[in-house]
Amino acid sequence: MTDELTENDLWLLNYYRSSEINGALFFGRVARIVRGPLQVDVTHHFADESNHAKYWTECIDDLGHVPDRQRSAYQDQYLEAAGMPANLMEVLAVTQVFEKRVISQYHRHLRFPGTHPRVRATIETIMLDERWHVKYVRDALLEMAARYGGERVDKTVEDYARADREVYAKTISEYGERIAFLGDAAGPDDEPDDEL
Amino acid sequence: MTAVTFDAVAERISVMLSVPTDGLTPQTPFSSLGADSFRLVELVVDLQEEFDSMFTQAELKQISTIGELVGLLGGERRAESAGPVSNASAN
Repeated sequence: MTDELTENDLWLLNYYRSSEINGALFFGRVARIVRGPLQVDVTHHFADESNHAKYWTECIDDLGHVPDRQRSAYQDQYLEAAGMPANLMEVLAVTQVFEKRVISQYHRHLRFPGTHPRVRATIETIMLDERWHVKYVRDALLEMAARYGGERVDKTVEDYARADREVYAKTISEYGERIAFLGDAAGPDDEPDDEL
Repeated sequence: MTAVTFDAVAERISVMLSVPTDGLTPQTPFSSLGADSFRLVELVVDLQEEFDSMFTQAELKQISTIGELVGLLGGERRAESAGPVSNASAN
């Protein structure tokens, strides 16, 4: 991705944009129902996801293209495979796993030396928020152990992580050629960092 | 904490999904509420927070009516056959 965007470059940026829009819509619902101190962080998260969609829209526009509506985002397949969360802990567990996947994918994109400077700047801006998302959700899950049980929280995160790996592998098999330009940085073996 | 009664749950469902309470009975299936899956997630999470209750995806999968949902919110436990991602490996 240098001066001109290829069709695959553009596809991936639209994929990011679509996923951020879905994230915003999902977190808007969570912000509407959450109670107590978490309201502040979850509403912040909702605003971040909306801003990320705006950043990608502006990025695509700045690069001379019109954002394209994609039929499905990563989350659609993700929740279909993993199942809909049924309580607040499960909502945050699936969020924790998903945010790590997002960071991992954005890291890969940053590692690709041909990444357009405008795209690189957008990812770097978004990454600042994504790291905070993982941190506050992890802290919230730790606090939720008192209500849901630490073992249940750990198992839920593990189960969603397993589903995430399956969906990611499926996504790579379906769209691998679209992100082949990332080269080694796009390999399916590069799993999200548990230490994030 | 609000007491878990059918009327209290039905009132909450009515507000969240904009359906009249007089059309809701314990036998009303979720599938007739006209809500997409994200809306149903929002509903069940909201109800658990409202009634200080907790159940899992595995338990939720075993019920299909508002009456059964009231039971879960009231603390009736269901045997858990699988974790929250039980259908992941099947896909």
